[in-house]
Amino acid sequence: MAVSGRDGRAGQDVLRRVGEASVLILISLADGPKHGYALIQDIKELAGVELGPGTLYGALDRLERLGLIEPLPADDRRHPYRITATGAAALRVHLDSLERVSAAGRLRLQLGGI
Amino acid sequence: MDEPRATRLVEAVLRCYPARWRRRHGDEAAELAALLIRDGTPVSSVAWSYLAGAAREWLTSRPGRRLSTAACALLVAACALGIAAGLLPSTVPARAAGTSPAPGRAHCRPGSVPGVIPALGHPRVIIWEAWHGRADPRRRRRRRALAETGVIIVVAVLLAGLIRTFAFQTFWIPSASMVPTLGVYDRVLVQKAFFTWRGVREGDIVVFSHPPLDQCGAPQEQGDLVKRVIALPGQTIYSSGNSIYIDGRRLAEPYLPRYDPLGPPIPDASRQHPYRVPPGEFYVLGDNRADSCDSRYWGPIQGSSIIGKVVLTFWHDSHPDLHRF
Repeated sequence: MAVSGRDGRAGQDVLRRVGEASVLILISLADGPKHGYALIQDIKELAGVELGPGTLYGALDRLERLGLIEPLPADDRRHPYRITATGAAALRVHLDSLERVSAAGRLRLQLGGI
Repeated sequence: MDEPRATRLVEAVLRCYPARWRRRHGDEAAELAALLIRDGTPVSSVAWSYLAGAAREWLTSRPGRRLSTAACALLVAACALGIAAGLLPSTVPARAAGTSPAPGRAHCRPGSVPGVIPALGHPRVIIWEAWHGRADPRRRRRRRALAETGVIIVVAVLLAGLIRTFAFQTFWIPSASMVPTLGVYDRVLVQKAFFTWRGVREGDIVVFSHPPLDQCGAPQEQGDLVKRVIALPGQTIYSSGNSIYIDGRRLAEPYLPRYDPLGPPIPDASRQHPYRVPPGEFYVLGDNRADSCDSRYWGPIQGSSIIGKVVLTFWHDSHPDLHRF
């Protein structure tokens, strides 16, 4: 299976090593298929991050190779992508782990009292 | 930038991607760039982003090729090899023009670069074959690996040649005329990039092509020479005792040993009538004044004949030794 490649066992956070751009793309695709330009616009809106077009395609290819997204039939020149079930699961695992980290961080800030 | 030019630039950058990528994303990427530029994204930032993406695309893994790390390593090795080959084996004699011919000159052969790189290249090919060369379907991959290695070797050779020609070149010193600063068999690094003879200063050690009036060495020893610049264009020079006077003031020469007899004096020059160096020319002397064939014999050298400035000795007194000038 593509997911259990170099990144190891199932259930592990495969998104930990793919980079911020890939995670943002997955988040953006979570509510429905999008193509390149729509992705860039959406990510700018939801995270305030301006994704470079060069970064975008690299990340899309990587996500596809990992089986986390899949291409839909081309619409004219545009190639929309859709998140796969694996991708959704991986995103959930990743967001959970982010949440744990952010909760721990907040707690420590509180304990530190700075 | 107007629109057609921006489009052309983006198209040019997109051509940097591998063909496989272009078949897949090329059209959409071009359209995306046009949309982004229309939205006010600077053309340069779009172009840079695609350029960086193309570089990543070439360097990172593709399907069916798990050896991307090895490929990267090879690329880095090629660069390192290119630099090393450019600096180390390209040794050419910088005859210090000692009045006595130097021993062992026949050993020196300039430009051994091409011989070095294949020698280092072969083991890599063998390793690659050992990794891939077992099953039949892998033959194609092996061929590709071989081609890749070939490309790397070619790139390394080109890089080495470029560095040698334009940036840095090493020379070795076959004679004793720059003793004690540079001994026989010392190796020096000569800076050629960002160097013009107009920037040469008093006290610099320079490598220059053989002056036409040099009669000191045997006819076959007509290579490049290395000497220290003593007087700049337009300055006056004369000698008295073991001291040299530039523009009337005594030249402090901290690079010389405490007692360094001058040997032959500066010819045709006295306190009353010092010699004036013509514009665009330099008066050069060897540090081993008593045993050096230099401007005292063949006059000042043309600034345009200066090849570069010695910036570093990396081999001194028969062992590796870094010393910056």
